[in-house]
Amino acid sequence: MRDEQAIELAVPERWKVNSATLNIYYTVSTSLLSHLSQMVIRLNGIPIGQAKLNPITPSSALKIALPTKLLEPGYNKLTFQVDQHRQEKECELPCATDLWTSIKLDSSSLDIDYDLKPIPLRLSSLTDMVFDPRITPSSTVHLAFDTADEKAAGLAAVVASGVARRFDYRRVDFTVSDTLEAGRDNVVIGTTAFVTKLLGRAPPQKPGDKGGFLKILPMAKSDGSPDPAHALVLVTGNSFDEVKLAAETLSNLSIGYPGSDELKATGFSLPDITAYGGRNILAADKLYDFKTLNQPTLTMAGMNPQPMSLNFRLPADFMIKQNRNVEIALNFAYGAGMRNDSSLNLLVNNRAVRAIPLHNPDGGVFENYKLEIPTYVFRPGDNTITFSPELHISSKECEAVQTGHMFLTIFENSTLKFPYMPHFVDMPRLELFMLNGFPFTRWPDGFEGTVYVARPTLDTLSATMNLIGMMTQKNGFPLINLSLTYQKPKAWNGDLIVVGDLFSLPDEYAAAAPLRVGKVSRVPYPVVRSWQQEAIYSFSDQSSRLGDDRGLLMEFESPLQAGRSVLLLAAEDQNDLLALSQKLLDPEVQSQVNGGLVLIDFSGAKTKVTSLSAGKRYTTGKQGDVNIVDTAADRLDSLMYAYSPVFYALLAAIIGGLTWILVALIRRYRVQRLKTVHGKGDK
Amino acid sequence: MKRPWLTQALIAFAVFALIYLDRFATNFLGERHQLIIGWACLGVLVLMYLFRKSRSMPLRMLFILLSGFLSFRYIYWRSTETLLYTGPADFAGMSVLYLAEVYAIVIHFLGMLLNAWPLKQPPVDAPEDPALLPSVDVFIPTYNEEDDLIRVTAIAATQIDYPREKLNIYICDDGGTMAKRSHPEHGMAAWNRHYRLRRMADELGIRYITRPFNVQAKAGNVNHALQHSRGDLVLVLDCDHVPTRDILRRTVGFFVADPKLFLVQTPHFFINPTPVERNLAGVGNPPGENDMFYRVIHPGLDFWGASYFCGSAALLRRRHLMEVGGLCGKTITEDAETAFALHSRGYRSVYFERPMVCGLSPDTYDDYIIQRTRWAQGMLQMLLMNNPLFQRGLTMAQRLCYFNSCFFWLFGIVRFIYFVSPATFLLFGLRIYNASWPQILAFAIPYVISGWFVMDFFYSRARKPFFSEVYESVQAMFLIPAVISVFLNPAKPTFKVTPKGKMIDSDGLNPMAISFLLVIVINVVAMVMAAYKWVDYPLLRDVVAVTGSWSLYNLWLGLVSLGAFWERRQLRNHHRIESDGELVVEVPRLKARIPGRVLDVSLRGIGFELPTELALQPMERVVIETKDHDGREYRFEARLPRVIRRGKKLLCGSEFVHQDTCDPAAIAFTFGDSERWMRLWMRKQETGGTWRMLWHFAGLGAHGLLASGTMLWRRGKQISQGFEERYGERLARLRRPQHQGASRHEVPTPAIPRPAVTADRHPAGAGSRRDDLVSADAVPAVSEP
Repeated sequence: MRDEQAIELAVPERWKVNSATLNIYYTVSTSLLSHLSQMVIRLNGIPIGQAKLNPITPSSALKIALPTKLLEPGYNKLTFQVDQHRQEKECELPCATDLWTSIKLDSSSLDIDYDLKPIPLRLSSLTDMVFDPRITPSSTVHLAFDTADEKAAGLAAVVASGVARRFDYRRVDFTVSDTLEAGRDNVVIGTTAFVTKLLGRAPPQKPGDKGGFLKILPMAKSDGSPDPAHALVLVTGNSFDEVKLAAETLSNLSIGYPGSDELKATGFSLPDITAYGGRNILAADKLYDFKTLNQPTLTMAGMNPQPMSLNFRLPADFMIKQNRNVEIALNFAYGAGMRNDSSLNLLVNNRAVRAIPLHNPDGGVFENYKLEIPTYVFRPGDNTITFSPELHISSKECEAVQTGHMFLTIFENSTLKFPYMPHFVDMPRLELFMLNGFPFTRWPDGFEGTVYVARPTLDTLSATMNLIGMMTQKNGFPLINLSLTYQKPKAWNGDLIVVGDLFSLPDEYAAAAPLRVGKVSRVPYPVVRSWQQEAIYSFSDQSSRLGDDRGLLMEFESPLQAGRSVLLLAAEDQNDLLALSQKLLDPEVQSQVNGGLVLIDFSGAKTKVTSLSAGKRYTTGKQGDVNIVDTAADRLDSLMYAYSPVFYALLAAIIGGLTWILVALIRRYRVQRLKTVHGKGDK
Repeated sequence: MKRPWLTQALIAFAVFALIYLDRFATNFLGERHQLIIGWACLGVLVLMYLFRKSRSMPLRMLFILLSGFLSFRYIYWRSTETLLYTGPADFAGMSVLYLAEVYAIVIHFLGMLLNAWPLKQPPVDAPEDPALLPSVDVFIPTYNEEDDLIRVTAIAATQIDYPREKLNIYICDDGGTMAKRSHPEHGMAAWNRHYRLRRMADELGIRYITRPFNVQAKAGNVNHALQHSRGDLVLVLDCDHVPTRDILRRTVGFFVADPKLFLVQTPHFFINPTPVERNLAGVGNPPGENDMFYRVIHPGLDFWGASYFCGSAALLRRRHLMEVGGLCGKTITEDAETAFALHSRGYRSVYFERPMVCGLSPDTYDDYIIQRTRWAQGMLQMLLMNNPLFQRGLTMAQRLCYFNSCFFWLFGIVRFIYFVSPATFLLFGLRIYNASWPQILAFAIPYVISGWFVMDFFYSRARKPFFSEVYESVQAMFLIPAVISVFLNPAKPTFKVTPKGKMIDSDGLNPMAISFLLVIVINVVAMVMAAYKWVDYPLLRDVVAVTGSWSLYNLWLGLVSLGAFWERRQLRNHHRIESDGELVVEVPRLKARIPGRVLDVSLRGIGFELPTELALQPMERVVIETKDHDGREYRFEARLPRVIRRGKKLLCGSEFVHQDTCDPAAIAFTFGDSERWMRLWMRKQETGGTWRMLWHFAGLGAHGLLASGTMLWRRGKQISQGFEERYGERLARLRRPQHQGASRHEVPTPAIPRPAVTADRHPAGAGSRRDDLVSADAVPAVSEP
């Protein structure tokens, strides 16, 4: 019986692959017949290697040199196809459980030997070659700007955001300084004066030219010789505003235009931004067809067809409500002659929630087949709806099996609609920050958020750029309105990110932090954990240190503005801070971050993450047209949500108070009424 | 409270805050909190319900607010969370049910307003000096009632304790108008009636008035009388409403005290059982159907100054009445309409809660429905033509009270919707109530249960639990077409006199009950479907559980309502009225005077109990001496047709010798004493055994169902026999196997008439059935050997 699995092999545009060797280690079932069973490896559909599946040596290895000619820039499909048999003369059950082959993913490897190609001096190279998401495993970009100037740092943050966005989900590490760094791609951000000082020559911009200026140049090696394999990008202008224009333009370059090596930016405008926009985020109460969701008409055929998936994101603070359903209207067709226990299973986040029977032996075409899925099976952030067909054949054992009629096609005009759900979420929840940078990305461009860089050393600034890059990648929108400052923010009523050491938190915020740092620190320790994972904390006042190779991530409510959040990224020194920011780029670390206080220990080979829900609960979100962080009523909502006894007390008080008022009124009325009839009062 | 604006602002703030809190809870609190809120409020309600003191202020207000909060919470949740579009049919069903629930909630809130603090008016004494007393005209409108009925009322009116020179009594006859007397067919009967009633008036020293034409029914009749009389006040008495002696003494004082008073309404008290009460004979003695209105609702209306005229047993001020041209006649509930018009002019009314007339309620369901249909149509006419909510001159509370009185009559439609709603899901799969089981547990069930407790909290004096549902169900089906017809043409309904004093000569299921058979069948089928869906659709079990339970409740209610439609034989013309008091029985034969206790009274005799060892003979002649609660003494010669010994006591039923049902002394003794009605009234509210009565109804319903099923089966059998007889030959020919060879034109079989068994059993149908046999011509050609 045949089966196959495939992986996508990314080859960046800037690689010139010299050789590629695949080393695979695999184990086969001992029930297989070796002369009938084999594995074929295909690259982009072309067989490049094969091996007998021999049960006598069930654990085997295979080394294959991949033809470099077949490796195209982009994603290459590497397919592992097996034909497995355990009976020679008699017919076999196609779904026999002892027909298997397993590839050991932890041992198998792909070694690629490559050189970097010279980068064409076109600005469009930035989008399809320099900042390329196919670069494996990660990339490093150096940002050169006047690090002493917070305005320049702010522009560097815009550039970092734009660059990170181009890398999509691929990890990118930023380094910063006010000099160039050889051996990597560099982006210089600053006014003409700064660039002149840095390069030792004036930028190739005419002195009288107005507007931002972008130019791509070859980088120089440390010895001064040209390094055509790395790019030097100038983001400059005569004034700060012009540099800003250039930075914003760079952060939004997303297609292969322009083909020139420089551009002069004279204007820039963003589309109307709505809150809760962002990468692949579904709007509530809006009908999407599958084509819009990147899922064109797809036919799934054969005995074990690959399922079809819809991937999308929900806002991080969606309040999933009871009694609401997601509506799916499916248009689909399926083949004739299948067994009547065939079905189309629907899975949400890998949990089966619905099934459509495909029980008509004559096949069928359905339009507007309505499915309703309770919203509570979805979650904020990434979600996947999988359509997994179970197509069964009605032939008997030993009959020649034809599978051409076994198909199911889901048409792209099928639709998906999420019901209205309010934005309301209890905080702190750092997992939402890891999900899409919430709450700093409530407005996708970072509006209403600011980053305070305490003690702006190079490492601290690098950590800041890493953090901003990560948020951008999660959110999918350049954070061009996220402000950056070196000064302690005073009376800031928006959301705040603080990057620095443990003592860098301004005093007015420090008291609200779940872990208070000072000469005497106040540290929460979980004592007992209840069924609902609500921990009870003891607090220890102590004089102590965080220690080396450790970092902290904290989130708590701003004491200056209800519903607003403060996020602190801190370590004992700047080296640890940089290391902490780099560790946060690791998906494994990200997945363990939750609650309001996270301790990350990277002293060992494996990073340890301890997440606590310590700290005061608060709520944030948006209800209808009124932003929760703006009105007194919303503050009250927030209070009652966090402390339900407040709600009950208010309810009792209001009913009691209303009773008192009405009784007094009605007594008075009664006396009046009796007086009119009788000319005397009656209590 | 000296600053009204501050009070109003505080109330507005508190109400807004409650709404706000409920919005918050619905939107943001999880199921656990919702359960806590719902069931905690319900728990407090139940505790307060059990605590007697909570019936009075200020706990009463707390109870009202809590129940209001539960109801508001429910409807807010229903409105914001459960109204989902899932298809056109679902949407239609969902909307209808939702509107029905909105109606129920509105009525519930209005009921809370009404029951805020029902007012029991303290009496106002009439002036001692007769010169200060206003003159009173007593109107006894009549149309087609029997002479004796009118005579009893007229005699009782003459016995009213009021200066004779200030009291004028009028028989206002609409059955002997010129138009009636000129009728070519019935004119003679009208002339006879005219003369009889005139003679009666002369005999009694009262006046007889009639008019040329019967325009505007009772309102026109009274208005005509108003033009021919001059009293300051007018006492309107239906001709079956026999007044007590003190009716004026206890009501006139209100008019003297308040010059802006236009109405003093007193309760209508009935001595004959309603059909529902009659069905419960020997099982229980529930308060009468109208007790709720006169004991709770009317005092509630009176608190808000919205007590209205109920057509009879009411005293009106002529001067005010004439300002609106007498009784209004735009709608067929002229009484309420008149009060509405006068309230709008700023005049006041009072309800004095003491029964001082004794009347007859409809004896059969047909009459009962005629009466209720008139009320429903009239009040809805008022809603549509006058819209109380926007009537100038009324206070806000009065507007709401009138609106409640009108809007209430849509209950028939709502009850019908409730009857069929669960079946729409169970039978047709319509999704008309989109809620999960935890939500139902948190919102719907506390609300529904609280409704039962609130009903009993407010109305326990006058209505046993679940009897409202039964009464509403009984009327529901018949009011729907009447109500719809008003909406289609508000001016169309006409006044129909409620027949009184009818007798039923045999037990049986009223044919009107057929609609409940339908309800029962629908809900039985729905229950079967519920069982099927429970097994076959495990994912729907929460919905099936809810709709199945609802269907079961409907089924039970349908059965109980069907049972209530069982009509019992009723032959007694003069009802025996439970009573108390002492008497002395003088037995001339034994020369003995035996003291005893009164058990019941009627116009024909007294039932009493004698603690004696003496042996009284059947038809023993006795003299009964007794007193009423005012201390008046009466002496009646009587016979004892019934003498039953119970240990050392004798239970006797006496029969007055005079045999005249219009004997003034008997009338004065039987009907003249309001204390008798008061005590009887109070006794009814103490009766228990609600569940016993309801189960009795259910038993009657099952009996009725069985009887109806049998009847339908027999009818079906008759029809099939008739069909067989009519088309038998053709059918047989069609059935005949071809291989037997005989064509239908061959071998003519002699015609053998089939014995007309069915025709014999049903003589009425015999002729036609024989005709059928003749036309069928012959029995089937192929007969069995």
